Amino acid sequence: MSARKAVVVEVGKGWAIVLEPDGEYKKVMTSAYLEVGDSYQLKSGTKFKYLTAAALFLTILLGSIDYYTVQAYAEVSSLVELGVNRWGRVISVQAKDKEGQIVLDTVKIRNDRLETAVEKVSQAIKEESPQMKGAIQTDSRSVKSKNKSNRNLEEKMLKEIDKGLERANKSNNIKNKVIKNNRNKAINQSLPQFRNPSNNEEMAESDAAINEEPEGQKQEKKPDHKQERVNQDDQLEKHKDIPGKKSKTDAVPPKAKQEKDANSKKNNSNDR
Amino acid sequence: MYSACNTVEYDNLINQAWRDYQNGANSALDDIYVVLMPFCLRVSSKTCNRYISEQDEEAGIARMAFLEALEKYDIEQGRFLLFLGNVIRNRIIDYKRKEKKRNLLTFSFLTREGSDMAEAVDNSFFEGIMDDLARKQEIEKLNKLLLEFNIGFKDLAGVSPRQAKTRVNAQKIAMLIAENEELKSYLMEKKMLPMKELEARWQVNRKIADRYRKFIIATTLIYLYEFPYLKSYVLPMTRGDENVC
Repeated sequence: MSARKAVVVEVGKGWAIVLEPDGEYKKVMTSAYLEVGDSYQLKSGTKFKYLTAAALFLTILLGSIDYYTVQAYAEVSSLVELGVNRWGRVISVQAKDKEGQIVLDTVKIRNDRLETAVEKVSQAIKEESPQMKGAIQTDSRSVKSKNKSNRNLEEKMLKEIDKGLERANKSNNIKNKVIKNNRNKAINQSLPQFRNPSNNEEMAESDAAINEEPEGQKQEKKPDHKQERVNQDDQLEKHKDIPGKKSKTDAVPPKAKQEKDANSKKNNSNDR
Repeated sequence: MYSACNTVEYDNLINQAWRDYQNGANSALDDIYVVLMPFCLRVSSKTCNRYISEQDEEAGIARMAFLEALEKYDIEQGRFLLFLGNVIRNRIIDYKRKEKKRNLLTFSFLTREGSDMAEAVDNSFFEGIMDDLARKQEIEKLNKLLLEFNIGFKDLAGVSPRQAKTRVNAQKIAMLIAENEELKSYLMEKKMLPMKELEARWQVNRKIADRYRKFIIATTLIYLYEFPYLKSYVLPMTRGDENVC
């Protein structure tokens, strides 16, 4: 007799008064067919269930609305404007001109953290439009929050952009070196198609830069002498950042480019 | 005439009437008809899953079925009420099916009546109806008593103590009144709670007694008149007791 039912004592249209097993009289709304004297199974917790469902629905709805609300616009370069929500995720992406559109078509940065988004964009810019070399500068970045009270977010975002740029620069430098390395190899093997006269000057320049770097610890991975040097340079750059050192343009031959991509991925994972 | 329809006397009464009817006493039919009609209607209602009044077509079918049952019944077939219930239910289902065939596209076709109807039922279905009827009789009697106190079930739903503790307290007060001759007669004569007495001699909290006056009166009446079904609902019990029973 543990689960006893209530007994109906009065009925009307759409309602009934029941006497519960513990002696409480209660009016219940029900459309079921009942008569006086019937037993009635109380549906406990239906109200509660509906309330929970409604609350859950509302939370999800409001949460997603909030997520997709742009709290601040970050301008990384003169090309693109990124809308950032309150959690620092990129929600909207807007190109300022054609050039920017091309860049944005190549990267997927929606729902990324601003840091990674900036990194991806700046890399893309370098890859897609070598002539836009100077487009990304640390001083061209800006964050405009929608309501002025949101200083915290602005500062945070600025920091993230800096980080992203830094990382982009790092990986670009590494890339450049790898490319150079490949190119040098190619030259060593005297493959004529890799000799690109337009880039000779620059190559020389960067080679000089590498030569100027002080020597660090030795790492022995590959027997190739040049490779070793490059590795040393990488190590150094991880520890100290050289702000003046900007990435070099990369006019890369197709084969070398593929290799470069693979290498840069490797390097990125090493970074993290 | 008051007798719960699941008592032995009730069955005897019916059997007596049936025997009279078999022996050609048509007047027996009138007596038994009044007694059994609520049951017939209730079976029809439960079968159709909607309220059936005496004017409805289904009630007529129930009446015919009732006569049929009287003709065909035999003592060896068990309780007459169960037999009667089965006959009525079957006839009503037959009727509904015919109805459905005749006008396939009426509203009755669209309702879901048909789906529930064909379900087979056992004796507990009819026994449940008998219990319901017995409870109904109790409730109707209680309702009449309560009207003397100007209390309706609607009021009770409004003032019923929500907290279990308060409810048990109120029920204890009711029990006190029901068991004490003085208090009981005061209540029945003056139609009021003997507040002063309760407060002075039994240290009853006046607030509780006052606020839940109607609830206490109703509960007292159930104790006093020994309604067997309803009483089990209003006995004061704590959570521990609940688990035991």
